Amino acid sequence: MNAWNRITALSKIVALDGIRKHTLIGLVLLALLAETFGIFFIDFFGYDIGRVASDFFFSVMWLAGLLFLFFHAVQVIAWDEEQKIIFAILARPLSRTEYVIGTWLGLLILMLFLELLLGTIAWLSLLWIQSNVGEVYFLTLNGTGFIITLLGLLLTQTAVLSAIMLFSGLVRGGFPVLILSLAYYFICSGLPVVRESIQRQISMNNEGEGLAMILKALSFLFPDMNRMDYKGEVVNSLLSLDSSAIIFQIAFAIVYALLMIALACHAYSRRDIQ
Amino acid sequence: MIEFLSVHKQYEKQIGEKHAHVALRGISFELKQGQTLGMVGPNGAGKSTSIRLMMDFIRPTEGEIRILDKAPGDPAIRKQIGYLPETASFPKNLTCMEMATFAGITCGMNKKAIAEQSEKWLSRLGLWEHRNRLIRSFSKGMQQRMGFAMALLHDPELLILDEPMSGLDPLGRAEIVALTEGLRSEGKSILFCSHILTDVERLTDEVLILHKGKVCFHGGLEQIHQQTGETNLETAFLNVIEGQGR
Repeated sequence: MNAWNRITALSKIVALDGIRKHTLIGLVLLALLAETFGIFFIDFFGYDIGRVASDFFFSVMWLAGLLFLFFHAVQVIAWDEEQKIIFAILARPLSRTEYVIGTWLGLLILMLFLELLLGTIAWLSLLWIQSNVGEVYFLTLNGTGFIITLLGLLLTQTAVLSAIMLFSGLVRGGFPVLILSLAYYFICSGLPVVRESIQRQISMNNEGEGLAMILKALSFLFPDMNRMDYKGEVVNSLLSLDSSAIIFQIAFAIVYALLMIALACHAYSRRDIQ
Repeated sequence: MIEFLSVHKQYEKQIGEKHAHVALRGISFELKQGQTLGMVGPNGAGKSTSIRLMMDFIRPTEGEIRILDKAPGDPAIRKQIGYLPETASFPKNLTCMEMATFAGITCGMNKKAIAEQSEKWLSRLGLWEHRNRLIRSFSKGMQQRMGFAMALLHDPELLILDEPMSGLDPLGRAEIVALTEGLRSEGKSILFCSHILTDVERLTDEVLILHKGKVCFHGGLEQIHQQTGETNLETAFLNVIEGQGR
């Protein structure tokens, strides 16, 4: 209980410090502006307006989340060391593990706040667009599909955040963490394309099975970021998703994030703070 | 309270460096309960390294450290330690009160105790009227005084003060000297690290002189005066350092 109190106390100051940062306030305003722009943007489309609008809103949320992760989250632990704030924090009866978890939780709260704010506005905007354009152009708006899509987006970004915490525990300085995080993100995004091309090669001339196995194993380390992209479900009248597949993906994302955090705690506990 | 037994610390070799930097070369000393120890030495002597080892920010390469009869790695001991870093720095977008609440909660204090102790120490250090201002608007001296308040908030038994006068104007310095004297008379154990030797002479019972990672002298003020034949700490200190070869 005491450990939990210490973790939540730290997460509170991480979240408060972040929410008052001008750059984050700017990011929220920019994302809100982009969503507002989306309402005008759909005027350029004469068909399937619901799909276009929901894709646009979720793309804005995805991009805002990535900007938050790559321009704020990657810096937090590095800033603590560079500005010597870490000494004021770890002078308290707080273990290194509690420090990593508390910082992660604080960043998660900020990310949830950002995405839920944008998600609420996106949902209200979709309702407004639907009521204005009529059923011919926007037949279905599926609330469950919207929630599942939002959950998928949040879990994917949580996994990325956890990987960022691991890199922050392994190397010093914000820039190296940014480089590692970007490399990780690009590998995660590119691996499915490579796997697909190898699969095509196997089906054509039965070559490359060993490589395909290696790539499959790597995909557990570098998960496919699109695996939990359910955007299409927002405008489907009936969910086309298999519930067991969704549960598996959610469980995988949670276990992956927890594993990354456990490794981050281990790495950070071993290092000298200078 | 603090025990160092043959402690060595070698930092990891940095890119471009031929040899790894050795900061401490088997130092041993002890700070007993209720004692005030002044740790002095030229730049690079190993003072900050010793303090960071006590706070478990870094780990010794060899040797053993005991703080309050436990290993420094046990976070629970920091409930009884008040630490003031050389440059007190806090998250810039928090208020003084938010930081005090964080400090209190991590030490297991309840809301009432946090409110009382915050008012006591922030008032004493002239920060009470600024308690709801963001730290980013604080001067260096105000941040240093805030660091002192955070170190004292949970009424620790042991105080580790790394350059407590850093960034303070003469008034602030006098205030901190008076405060430290008060804490000393209350029987708190204090490890005090400073370049201002007049403060060390005024505030400490014993002096530990470090030079090039080794202990050059450890003893009472009278002892160093007798040993060097000097009447003040500054000249005695120079005498000891010159004796070791600069």
